[in-house]
Amino acid sequence: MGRRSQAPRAGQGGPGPSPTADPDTELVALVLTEISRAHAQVKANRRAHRPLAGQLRSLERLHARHADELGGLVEVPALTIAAEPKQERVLARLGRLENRLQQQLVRDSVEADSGALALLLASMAAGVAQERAFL
Amino acid sequence: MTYLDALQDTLAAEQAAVFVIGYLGAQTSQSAEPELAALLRDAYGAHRARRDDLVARVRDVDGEPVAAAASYDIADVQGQPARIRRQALQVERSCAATYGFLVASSPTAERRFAVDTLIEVALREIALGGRPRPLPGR
Repeated sequence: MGRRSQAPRAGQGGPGPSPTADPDTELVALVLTEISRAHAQVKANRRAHRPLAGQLRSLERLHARHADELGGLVEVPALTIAAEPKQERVLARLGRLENRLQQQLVRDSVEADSGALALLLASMAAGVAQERAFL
Repeated sequence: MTYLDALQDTLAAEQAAVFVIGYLGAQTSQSAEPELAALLRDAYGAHRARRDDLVARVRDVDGEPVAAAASYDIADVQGQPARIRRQALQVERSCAATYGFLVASSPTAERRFAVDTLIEVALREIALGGRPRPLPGR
């Protein structure tokens, strides 16, 4: 079931969407938060593990570019962002997080109301998959 | 573009991919270039499978699947593995763009196939030596 269905609906105690509201607005906000979180994770690990900086920089840039497409990076709670203490585990950990993001982008693409947004999110998922191949 | 139009365009791209990748595989020496030969063999199998998926999807929406072209414009690449790789990469990039259009034109219930295949094609680009790049539509 899509994540938008968890939002309150008209007649269920929450404010319903206005007739002219973009049905994808909520989805875009959720995706932007996920991408911003992924960006912050990569950045934190890049700063904590200098020898991996070159490898992580292109992934960080990818997330920043994707966020720009949706309105720009948003702040994420610092408590949810932590660099992996052991350098030898960084790439595996980021690989798992990026895989999770990729799968979420796929689901978001399928759920999007607009075909243009679906294409954008699918392309982002493909871009993340390509970068993961280099981790 | 309707969903059926996008399916037919994607089918035409896959038919071209089957032909060109098949040709490139035939021009690749198994003994001198085993890694490239294996990549092309896998790519050929994947494109054939997607072509068959697309034929079924076109029929599912009461369309008549477009026929493959009688021939495709391909360069002579025999014994030139770098050119073979480049041509194969070009095929995958072209397919990625086509699947992008299919993503945008698919109804929600049918979209997953196009999204998954776009990712599959994008990963094959990397296997063939491509670098991550901005993908279709952007």
